[in-house]
Amino acid sequence: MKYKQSFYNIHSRNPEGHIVYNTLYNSLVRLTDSEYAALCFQTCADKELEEEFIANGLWVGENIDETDRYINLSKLFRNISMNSRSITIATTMKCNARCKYCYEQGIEPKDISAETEAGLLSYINSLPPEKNIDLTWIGGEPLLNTGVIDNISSALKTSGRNFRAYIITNGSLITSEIIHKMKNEWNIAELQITLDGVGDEYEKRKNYCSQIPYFKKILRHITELSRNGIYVHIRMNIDRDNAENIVTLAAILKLYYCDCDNVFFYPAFLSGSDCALSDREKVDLIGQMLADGVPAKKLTINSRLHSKPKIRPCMICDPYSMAVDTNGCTYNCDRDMGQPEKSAGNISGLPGNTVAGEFHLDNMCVQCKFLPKCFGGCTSDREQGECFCFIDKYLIQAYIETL
Amino acid sequence: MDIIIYGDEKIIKLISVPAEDIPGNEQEALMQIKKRLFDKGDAE
Repeated sequence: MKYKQSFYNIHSRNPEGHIVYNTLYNSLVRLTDSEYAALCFQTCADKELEEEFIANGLWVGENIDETDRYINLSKLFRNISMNSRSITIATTMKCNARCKYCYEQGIEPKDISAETEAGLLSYINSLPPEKNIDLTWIGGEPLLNTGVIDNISSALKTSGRNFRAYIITNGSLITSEIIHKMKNEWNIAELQITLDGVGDEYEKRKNYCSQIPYFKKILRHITELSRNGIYVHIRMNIDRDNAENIVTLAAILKLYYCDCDNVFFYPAFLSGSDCALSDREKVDLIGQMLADGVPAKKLTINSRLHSKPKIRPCMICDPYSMAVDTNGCTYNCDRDMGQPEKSAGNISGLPGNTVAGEFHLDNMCVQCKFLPKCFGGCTSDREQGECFCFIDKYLIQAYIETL
Repeated sequence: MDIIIYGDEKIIKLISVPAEDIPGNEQEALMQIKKRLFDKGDAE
């Protein structure tokens, strides 16, 4: 049988040899010059090496179109019914921060209606009892309206429904009481907190209505969450204006949380403005964090190196996921919440299965070596003409360049 | 060659190896996938 290089091999020429990572099979190897030449040109005299190339997916059969097979498999697996339903719920569209990059600007700042809350419970109760429920609480700032979280969590517990929850918050309103509820009543084992800088830079970018400085408080909240066994994912929003400050932030977070196995922090590059970084700048910025000693694991690189190939980019084409805004409108993408013209329906009277939205896999993505990590990226960003690639390609590229 | 992370055997087989060569309990499931995908046209 004749072989060729896997299309999904990516390569970095480093001082200590050649690093090759395969984004479909997740193999990661270091090669000498001669081994790399053998990999590229199929000129291998060493049978053992040849077998290792094949066993690790670095070589595939000459007649195999990996991309075609992978995309076909993704279609197949997308049709397999899942035993869970995922619902993203906006408790409120009010927020105590005024981030300049917020995609919810112009949306009416109101709490979730009583009708929507009742509709959600009715919808969940209509699902077969064996279906697990994954809730994501979002806002605005979701902790500005915890009553709905109390009510729905309590109802699900009373009915004996299996559920777990995630919350996306700025972290400013977290208290010991809230952490107790997260753990014992809301079934929250993980959450996301956004930090956009250090000290004054953070306060400037969040621009809290109260003008109270929150940065140090939020670091304390993260410590308390971690001690209570809750996983914390810190999202570091980055553009050109705060890039250097974020490198400092990463170094501080490393110091604070190096011994906390349940605290991670990862970059999220803002797009859609003159301040957006280029692809190379993004890779270099992550490389700088790694050079400063921030562990790859803390930046979530390890999990991305091992992740299974995606079969869909996100919730948008998942018939078992939906987002619900304060008016009860349902959406295939949580970025659309508060825009009824983009709604797929209403939670009241919704059948058990929702309809998946459309997503576009264009030629650029089909021909991209990071397709298994991204699968077309963010549809919302794509529609707005912004960079739609997911973060994985920058993290992985930066990491293999350091090996 | 220094292998830092081994390739995911299941995915490699799913993409590149005939299903009859896959040992163990996964063979039948993968055979079905293979039949649907690779032997008789598209999955859908």
